[in-house]
Amino acid sequence: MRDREFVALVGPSGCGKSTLLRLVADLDVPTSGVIAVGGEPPATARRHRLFGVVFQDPVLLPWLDVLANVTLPVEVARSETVDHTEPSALLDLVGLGRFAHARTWQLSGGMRQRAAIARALVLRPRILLFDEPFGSLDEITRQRMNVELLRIWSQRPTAALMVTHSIGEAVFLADRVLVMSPQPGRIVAEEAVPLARPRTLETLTSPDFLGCVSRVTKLLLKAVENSTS
Amino acid sequence: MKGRRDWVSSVIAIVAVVVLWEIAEQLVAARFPIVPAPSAITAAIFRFATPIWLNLQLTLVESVIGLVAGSLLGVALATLFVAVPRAERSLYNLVITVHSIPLVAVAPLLLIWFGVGITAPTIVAGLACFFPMAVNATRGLRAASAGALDLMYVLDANAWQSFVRVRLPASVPYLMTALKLGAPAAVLGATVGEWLGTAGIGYLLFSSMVNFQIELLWATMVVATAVALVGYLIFVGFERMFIGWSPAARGQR
Repeated sequence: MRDREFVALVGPSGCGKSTLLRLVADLDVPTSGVIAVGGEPPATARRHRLFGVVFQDPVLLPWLDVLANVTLPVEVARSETVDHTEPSALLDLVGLGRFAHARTWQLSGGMRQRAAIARALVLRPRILLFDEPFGSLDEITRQRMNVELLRIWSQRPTAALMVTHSIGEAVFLADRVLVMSPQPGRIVAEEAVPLARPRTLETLTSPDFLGCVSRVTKLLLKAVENSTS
Repeated sequence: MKGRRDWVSSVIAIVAVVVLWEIAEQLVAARFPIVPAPSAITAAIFRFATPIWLNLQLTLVESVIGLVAGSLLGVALATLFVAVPRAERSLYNLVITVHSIPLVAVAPLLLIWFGVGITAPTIVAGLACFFPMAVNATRGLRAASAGALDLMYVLDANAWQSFVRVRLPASVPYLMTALKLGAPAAVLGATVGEWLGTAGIGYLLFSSMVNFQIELLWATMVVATAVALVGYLIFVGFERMFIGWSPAARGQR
């Protein structure tokens, strides 16, 4: 992965894409092989806080208000390099400026995930990891969140790795789509996305987008076919 | 809204029982002095206000110390259980056994060991609230979601930070449940501990029984019940103040 590159990893359920992300985030330990994150092993990268993670579940702490949730990484890291106005600036960026002191359980699913994105960005990571972040949202909210995500990402550019089972989401967001096959779980194909940025909701109906989606779909079908035969 | 209706209907139920009781007394049971009418009990509370208050003070001190000490010990044991699972496997049955000893059997033993005074009743009060706290705190300290702990791990939080920022706050609803159970239990424990002593609500109950002061017995019982109930309600109030984020606490409104 290059700096400021957005890579999406698609694959059917159970192919190990979430596991791959957990390995990168140092949440699981590989049985064999080597993983490098920013040139470091995952454990070192984690200690240096090179990456921020947005989980499938937003995991906001309900006893803290929204702003305190976003500030949590700064406090845990005892970071003095992060400006103390950064958490509120990020809440403004993700569109939650008015909800800084709301309770987390008063937020909708999309708003919670916005707060989780702000929290992942607060320590200025070099890499953002997304594990199906919008998987539990309805289709319309999900599309809007993807547009929002690209807007936020353009303001705070990092390398990004997203795991998803939605081909459309992968193509819409990423510069490069990796296709993973189940059993054995491995990356079997790769497709560069030729779409210009900024991408908007109109992009979703453009021929380039639809063409890329169908190419990735074919790659994925082939991957599944090869593994089951 | 629903909570308020529940509250009103329980008050109505209590008032109805008291009124029916009073009517029954006036009609048929007036010749049974062992069950005085509510009006007679109320009058007795005022008549015996001084001895009740003096003895109550002692019971309150014992209950509060017992509740604080017993709960702290319960939390300490729970922390040990959560930090060292092997300790839970080897000690859990012992704790259950200790909990199964009837408090009325412990009380005379403690009286022999520590003599008459506030020590024995305080220890009984502490024992009474120790167990609910140990059980609930053990569950509470394990209640933090795997996701929240993953988050702290990714943030490279140390064990202390994870404990203070995630495990402990996540356990507060469970601690509140234990305190709601523990507050009345401490009053009961202190009373049991005073039973064979020379002062306190327990002593007052015992002495009014042997002296056949039926109205004093009832008055003391009503006051003790009210105190235990207030202890429970204090922690219901804390629950609403501090853990509005907990679905369980919100559901009670």
